[in-house]
Amino acid sequence: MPEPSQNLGPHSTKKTLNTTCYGAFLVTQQAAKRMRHQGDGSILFSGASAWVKGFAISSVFAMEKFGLRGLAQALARELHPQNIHIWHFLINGGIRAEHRIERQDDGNDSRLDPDAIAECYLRFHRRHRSA
Amino acid sequence: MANSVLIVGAAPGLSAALACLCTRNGMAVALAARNIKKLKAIFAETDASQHLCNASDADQVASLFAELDHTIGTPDMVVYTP
Repeated sequence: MPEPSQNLGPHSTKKTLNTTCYGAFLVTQQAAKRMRHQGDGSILFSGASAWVKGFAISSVFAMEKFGLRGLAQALARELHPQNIHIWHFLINGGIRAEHRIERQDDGNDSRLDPDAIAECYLRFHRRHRSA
Repeated sequence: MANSVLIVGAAPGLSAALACLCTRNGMAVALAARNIKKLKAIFAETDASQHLCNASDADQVASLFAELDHTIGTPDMVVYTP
């Protein structure tokens, strides 16, 4: 949830960054090690508009997404020559999720369709390496 | 083209949609999360394997992939969506 920076807890902030950025590093390191051996693979990250713009009362989210974008860009340039493809998706809005009240469909087309995004993810995974 | 996908940080919403889509496409699906209780609905709709994993713990992540080595092998697609 958006929170003024002065209210952020040091430990919860560290925990969040550990999960988003350090966790992404750990997972991609294990995945890429195996994909190199296999000769191909795709690694996809879910990003947001906060990956390019730090919004007010959104310090932690901005750090998370900027960090993830940096990792994705560096990995893409390192691993593409080895036929491992990195995708970082800018999801510009809230994805519909029935289990979260604030993310339920309100009938005004204000939430993004998770099925449509899933289709997009799979399509990118299956793209020819030249495309 | 059947292959496999690992979704880390899985939760209802996008992960559920992706798990269902990949299952319909004949892919082996593995879901990893710190709290796998919230994934019950996904497991009911797919035959995805479930893996308890804190992605910020190096040992747990290494164990997750070692486990997959013995089941679905190297995932062709890894989705990190914390």
